[in-house]
Amino acid sequence: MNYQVTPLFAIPLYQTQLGRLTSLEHEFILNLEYERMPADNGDYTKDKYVLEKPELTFLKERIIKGINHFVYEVLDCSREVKFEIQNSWINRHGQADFAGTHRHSNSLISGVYYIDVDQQSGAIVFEKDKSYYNLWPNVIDIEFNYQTHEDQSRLNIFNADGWGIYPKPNELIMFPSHLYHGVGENHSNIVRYSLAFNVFPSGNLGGKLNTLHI
Amino acid sequence: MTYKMHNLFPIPLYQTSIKGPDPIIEKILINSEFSNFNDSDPTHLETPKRHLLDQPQFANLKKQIQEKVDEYVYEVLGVTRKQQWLITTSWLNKSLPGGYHSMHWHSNSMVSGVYYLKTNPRSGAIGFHKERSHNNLWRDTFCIDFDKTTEYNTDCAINPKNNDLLLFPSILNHSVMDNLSTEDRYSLAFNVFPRGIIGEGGNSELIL
Repeated sequence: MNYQVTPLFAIPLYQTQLGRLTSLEHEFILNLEYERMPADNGDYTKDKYVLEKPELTFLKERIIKGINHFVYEVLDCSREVKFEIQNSWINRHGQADFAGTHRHSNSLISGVYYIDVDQQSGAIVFEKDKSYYNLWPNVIDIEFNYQTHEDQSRLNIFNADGWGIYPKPNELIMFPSHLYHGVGENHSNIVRYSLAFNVFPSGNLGGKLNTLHI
Repeated sequence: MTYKMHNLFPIPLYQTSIKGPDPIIEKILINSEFSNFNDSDPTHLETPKRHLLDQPQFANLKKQIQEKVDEYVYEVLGVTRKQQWLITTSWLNKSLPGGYHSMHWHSNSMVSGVYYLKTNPRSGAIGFHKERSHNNLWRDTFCIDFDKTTEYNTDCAINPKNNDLLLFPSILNHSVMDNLSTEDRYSLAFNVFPRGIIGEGGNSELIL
């Protein structure tokens, strides 16, 4: 075996560590006002712009640093375009709460910062859209070893329909907002807290043609 | 900043090299009959024979390629061995100096490949192009400028060497850039399709 496989045109999922919250920040987040989600599978803050709160200024600055690293260093977007946090909210999952598969509208980049999580509180699982194919059209249903033999060691980024990550406290992940994702059931003794946010560009988009200033 | 990238759901482009045919067989291949099938690419020629590898004198070359197809399908992609993935069509391309081959994909095929019989660093890279509907980043209706090219925002080009073999899903658009050398460039292209029972026992069972 002497070969290499180049992963062409992948969906970039960024993961980094931001450092711990202060006890005041942590306490502030836990004491925000929460409401049950319409799907009755978790709670979220009534305030959908929590990162605008003065108490979370330092956290917002650290998240912005992560966003800038992702868009300007990893993706190499032009610095003519500013990427700004729009809405932001805290998700709270008690025992057996989960998040169904969804994507974020009116956003180009979405992210999650993990506050209180452990290995039993639910993975975030990213799903390949049915209209997105990196191998073959879905009308031809070829079976993979990880499906038929349940040999998870044969699962890889090329043949997977979904990709799960068990986040650790203080981790930040970011991804294109069109990427479908969900969160598994919380089987932990702790309440799972995470902060979600959306990012949209502003400034001059596009070159000579199709220019948009927003 | 310490970080990790997870490259989700990419298109797998496989590259390896094989021993190739012995010099006599190579000469037979190069002396094949070629025609031009596309008025827009007058310097790109192909053999009218579309099942070259089925000819007995090329059996050894076919065996070498089939071994790599099996490695790609069963080992890299992790497909079960319920089907055989067999070479269907195969033909030789000849690119004259100044020649190129415009963007295309291969129909009626699941995996396609190219074996490089005679090439050089100036005889044209093969380019792989992202389909407009392949949204790994953002939809084309958002035109964000990039400062540099990265693996996420640009097409991919590979400059193959003699005896290199590339394999990729047939849906992947590709092209061959200008042959800037003074020599003809020869490559053998082929398609692969599974044979056997797909979806056995279900209402989508397909026997091929």
